[in-house]
Formats: sequence, C-alpha cells, structure tokens
Amino acid sequence: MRQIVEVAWDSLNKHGEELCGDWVKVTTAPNTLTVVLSDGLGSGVKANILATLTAEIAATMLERGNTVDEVVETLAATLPECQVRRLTYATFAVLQVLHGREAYLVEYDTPPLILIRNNDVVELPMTERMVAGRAIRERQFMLEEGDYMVMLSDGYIHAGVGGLYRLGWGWKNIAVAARRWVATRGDAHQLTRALSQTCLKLYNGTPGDDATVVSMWVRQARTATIVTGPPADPKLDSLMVSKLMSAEGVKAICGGTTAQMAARELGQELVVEWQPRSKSPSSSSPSKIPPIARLKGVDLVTEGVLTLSSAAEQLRKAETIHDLPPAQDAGTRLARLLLEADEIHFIVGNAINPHQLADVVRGKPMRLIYLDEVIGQLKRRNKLITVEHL
Amino acid sequence: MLTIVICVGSSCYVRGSDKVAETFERLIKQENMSNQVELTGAFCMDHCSMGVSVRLDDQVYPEVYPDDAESFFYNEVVSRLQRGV
Ligand code: FES
Repeated sequence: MRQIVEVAWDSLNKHGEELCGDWVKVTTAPNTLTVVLSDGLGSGVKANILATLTAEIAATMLERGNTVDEVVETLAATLPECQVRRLTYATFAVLQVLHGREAYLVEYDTPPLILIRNNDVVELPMTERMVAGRAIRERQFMLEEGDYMVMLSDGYIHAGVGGLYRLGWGWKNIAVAARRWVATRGDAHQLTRALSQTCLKLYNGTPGDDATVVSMWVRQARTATIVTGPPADPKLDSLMVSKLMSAEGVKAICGGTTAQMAARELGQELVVEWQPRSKSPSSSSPSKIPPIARLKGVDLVTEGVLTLSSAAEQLRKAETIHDLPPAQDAGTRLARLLLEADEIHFIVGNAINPHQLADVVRGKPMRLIYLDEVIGQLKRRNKLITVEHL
Repeated sequence: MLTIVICVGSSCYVRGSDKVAETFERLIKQENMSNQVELTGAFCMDHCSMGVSVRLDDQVYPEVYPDDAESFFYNEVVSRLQRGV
C-alpha cells in the first residue's frame, strides 16, 4: 500500500477585506506532493498579489526540479520591494513530500510547522542558512503513518490578542489544541475546520489579520476503480471485468448495461435493490435517480447517466465528504466513494448503445459529459485521476 | 406467484419507472393481490422505447406508459393471473 499525505486548508480574510493576503498552493504529482503557504505583507490586493506570486512561483519551480536556493533567488529578483522595510516581502513555508514519506521543509519567516506524532508535539530542529540575503530555515525528515502536520500563517498566532489570550493564541497553545483534536483521529478536513472555527471565535468573528491553516494527515492511500460503459468491442468485455476485479481498493460500476455485462462475465446474479415506494425508508423524498444494484465483489453498482449527473451535482455543492448529506441514494453514495478516494482509475467503455438516452451533445454521449465534469471536480481536489478507454 | 419486473435503466427511469411502480403497488394493494404478485426492478432490458419496459415472467412489454399503467395492470397482469388459475 502507498502512503500519502492528505491536505486540507482554509483561509480567513482580515475583516473587511475581500481578498486574502495568504495563499496556499498544493500540487500533487504521482510521487510528489508540494504544499506552499505564503503570507504577503499587509492585507488586501497588494498582499494577495505578493502571496499568490510567491506561492505560484515556488510551487511551479519546485515541481520542475529547481532547488530552494533557485526559488528564493528568483523570488528576490522578481517581487517588488516593500517601500518601508526595503524587503521583498512575502513569507513562505514549503513542504515537499516524496512517496508520502521523505519530507523536506523550508520556512522563511513563517510560524514553524507543527508536527504531531503519537499524540505528541514533536520538535523539528531547523538549520538556518542565508540564501540571496535571506535567512531560511530548512529540515529533512521522515514521515510516519498517523503523523499530523499543521502549517499556519501569522494571523493564527495573533488570534485573540488582547482578548482571551493577551498575547494572541500563540504557537504553543495552537499546537496543544491541534494535538487534542487529532487524538480523535479525525482527518485533515476536520482538523482544518476545528482550528479555523476556533481562530474565528478568538477573533470574535472579525479577524484582525488574514489567517490560514493547512492541515495534513499521513495515511495509507485509498484507491478506487470505476468502470462505466461496456467496451466498444464485446470481445473486450472479459478484459474490462478482470481489470476491475483485480484492481486494488474500492470497486464500482456506473451503468446498468455495464453491470449486466459484468454479472454475465462473472457468472453472478445482479440484484437491483429496488424497493416499492411504500417500503423504502425515504418515501417522503422521491429519488430522481435509479436504485443501486448488488453484485458480488463490487462495492457499488449504479445506473449510468442519471447517477453520474447526480454525483456531479453533489460534487458541485460538497467540498469534502463531510459536506455530503447522509443519504443512501446511488448519486450520493457514488459522490462519497469518489471523495473518499485519493487515487481513482476510470475504465471507460466506448460502446454506443443506440437504445440508451440518445442525447448526444457536442458529439458526446451525456454520460461522458457528466463523467468529464466529475473528473474535473476530483482533479480540482488534487486527487490523482487516471482514465483508460476500452 | 407472478413477478413483475420494472425496468429502472436510464431510459425507462426518465420515462417514469417510478410512476408505473407506484401505480402497480397501489393496485396490488387495492386488489388484495400481494401474495400473488411480486414487484421488483432490473436494469436496461434492451427494449428502450418511448415508454417503460415491464417484464412479466419471460415476456417484455417495452411500452408501458405511466398513464396507461393501470389498464396494463388489469389487461396483462390480472388476466395472466386469471389464466393461470
Ligand atoms: S432502459 Fe429500460 S429497456 Fe432500456
């Protein structure tokens, strides 16, 4: 099994500002994760531009294999200087993780990363050195399964100044709070939400500074394989089914005809879990999509076009699995399965079913149009998506 | 026991599988036939048309419209049962 780092972040804007002066950039490549948090000097438009440029330049250069020294030199040469302090000013923290394990952390004037391992806040001794006239701190370390990490912008450290905490929330208190939350083994989204809500509360609902948190959780990758549509050539039916059945992780079939084909190939019975309205638990809310079916060895079997459209709609509204309704209909269950996975492989059959919904828009069956939307939504959440056509 | 299988594939579903099912359910209750007929669903029966496909035993009726579901029930389901008796 592969180990990965789950990442979630949230920014609170300084009260009255429309733009945030903090910027987070997360990029995932098959073996590398890069997380950059940048905090631009001040707030509003200028800070936003400084932070965005810094994070984007850093993430792009690192992704292309440039060294941190090169990144810092480029930033120094590119960004405008602050008139008052005569500095190029946007702080940043960069965390690069190879294979979900080998971490490299660089910090430039940001609050230190919080690392929680086995319910303890772990100190990460940093080495300081000068690059292009700037003191950066860096550190290489190994991640272990179950580790949590939290990156913060200044706004967190100062939350509640003069109120509950006279000197602000402070790194130590935040680390303790984070440690308490992760004891419940929540995921990165829940940790982010908890910290962000507390921060907002400490600011009495009106943050005095942009405040950003990036939470990370090291865990085993969750993979899913989705088959939709029978292959163009029926001779490939068995290949498609064996690809699905031999895949690692969660398996799903989206498409009634595909499900029937798979049942035939597997010699198993396909049972549609259809219940007369009066017996179904959600009889008050007539569902707009066909029921789920059961097929041995497959975790979720649904109809195709309507279910995909419903899942796409859910993904438009729900950012994470925690935002989904508790419903058990096919669309919600498909959306849940997709949001839960980190690496999703789609096997798309190219058969044209002349009987099925004949709606062909832009020369493409509706099912594939919804599928494209679903894939786009998942990519936006930094999931690793692969697509194969048969 | 007669099994009524209503198609809940993409095409039939948008043409009213649920409505047809509701009508059948209501009539089964009304006619007190719940120990003679069973209602269930299946995916595409390869007879997609302008209506909903319904299968009685081995025969597929590809064009049951939601509005005609009641007459279909009496003409096909009830008469089939009576013939069987
Ligand atoms: S969807 Fe009902 S017959 Fe095709």
